[in-house]
Amino acid sequence: MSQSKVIIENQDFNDLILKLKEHDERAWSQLNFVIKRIVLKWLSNKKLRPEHAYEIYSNTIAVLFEKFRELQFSSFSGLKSYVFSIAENKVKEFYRNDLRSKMQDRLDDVPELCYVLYMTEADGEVASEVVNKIHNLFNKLSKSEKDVMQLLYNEERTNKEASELLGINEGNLRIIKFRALQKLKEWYSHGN
Amino acid sequence: MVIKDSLNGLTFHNDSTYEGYVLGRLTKSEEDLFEEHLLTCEHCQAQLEITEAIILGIKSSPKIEQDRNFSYNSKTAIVRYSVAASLALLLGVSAYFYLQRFNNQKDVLSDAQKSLLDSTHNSKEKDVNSIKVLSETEKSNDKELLAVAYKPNPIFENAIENYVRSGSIVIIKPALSAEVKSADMLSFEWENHTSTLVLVIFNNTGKMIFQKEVSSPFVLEDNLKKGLYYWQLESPNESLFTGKFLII
Repeated sequence: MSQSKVIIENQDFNDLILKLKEHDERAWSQLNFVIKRIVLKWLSNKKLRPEHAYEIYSNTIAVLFEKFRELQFSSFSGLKSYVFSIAENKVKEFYRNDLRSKMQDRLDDVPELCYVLYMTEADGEVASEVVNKIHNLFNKLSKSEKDVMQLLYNEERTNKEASELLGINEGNLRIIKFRALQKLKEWYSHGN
Repeated sequence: MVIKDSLNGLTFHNDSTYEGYVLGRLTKSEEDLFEEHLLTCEHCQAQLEITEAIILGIKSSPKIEQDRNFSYNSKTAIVRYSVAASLALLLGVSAYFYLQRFNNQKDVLSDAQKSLLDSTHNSKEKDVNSIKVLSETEKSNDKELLAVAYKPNPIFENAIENYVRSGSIVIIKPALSAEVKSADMLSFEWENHTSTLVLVIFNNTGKMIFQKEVSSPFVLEDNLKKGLYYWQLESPNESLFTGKFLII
């Protein structure tokens, strides 16, 4: 934990913008991390298939990269609005090509962001790798830890609901969850 | 290097925030604040990525049916309590008969010892020594038990290290690792948080021994045994602060 704290740089927004203008790779990777989640979430709400959402997002970030040097941003909300305006144009462009078939190709439900994030990269290969790894690590947890994590993350119950279902105190549930998360994070980071 | 820990009530570097973001439980304004923070915080980016992977992995694993060992409805609870009560009764009766038998044996042994003590002075000295040794063993057992009560709990220690993240809240009392002679001398005081919070106290084994909605200042009236304790201040959404104190 302390190691990761060391690498944190105190970049404020303006420093980041300057680095982005210089096409600094690390700064772009940081911006990409956030913008990807924002745009993919917005596109998922349009019930787009993950691969289509990812295609639109890739085109959006390409335009942003191309034009960034000419642009001025004083706040993150300004940058976000600009990104959304590009993404909106890309969505229109996407439907313009074959509106009817693409409208029919939409999903019935909104796909969850974590699926979209992992399923769109490397044609879903990353997703199966991540899922299998976490699944194996999850099986190493104790019975009580598994129960708590299943209720909280699979069934998306709140702490209160989960503690009532399991007949345990909410405080104890938090401790079990904390312990399970620490274990999973440690195992995941150390490749166990 | 300054790591911004919180803004407008939202605490960063916090599992609940990562989890809330992934599960879409943050409000729009919280989400905006967190995304802006995320832009310049590689630590949070790494933690968020792991949280996403964990949630994705768990979501993809098959759901466990309702055979949870410690999840039970009231009907099964009654059955379990009945079995436990019967076992306790059985144990109590066995203990009673065993102690009676033991006392009888002791009486017989004492008589034999008396005759031996009368005949030899050395054996008396031996007995006295054995009693002395026994009391020292008892003392060392007590010391061991006391040491166990002060053994730090790695989970909470870790929580303190990583989660002294009081956000806007400022803790006045007790100081971190405060040592007090009695729990009723312990007062909890904080600033910058007007609403009532839940004070939770755990012993060093992680067992919750106190939970109450309180407002600052609050004086603990419970008598706690000697040992190391961890305390948390919780708002309805998250744990705001984790600290510890010792009763000496």
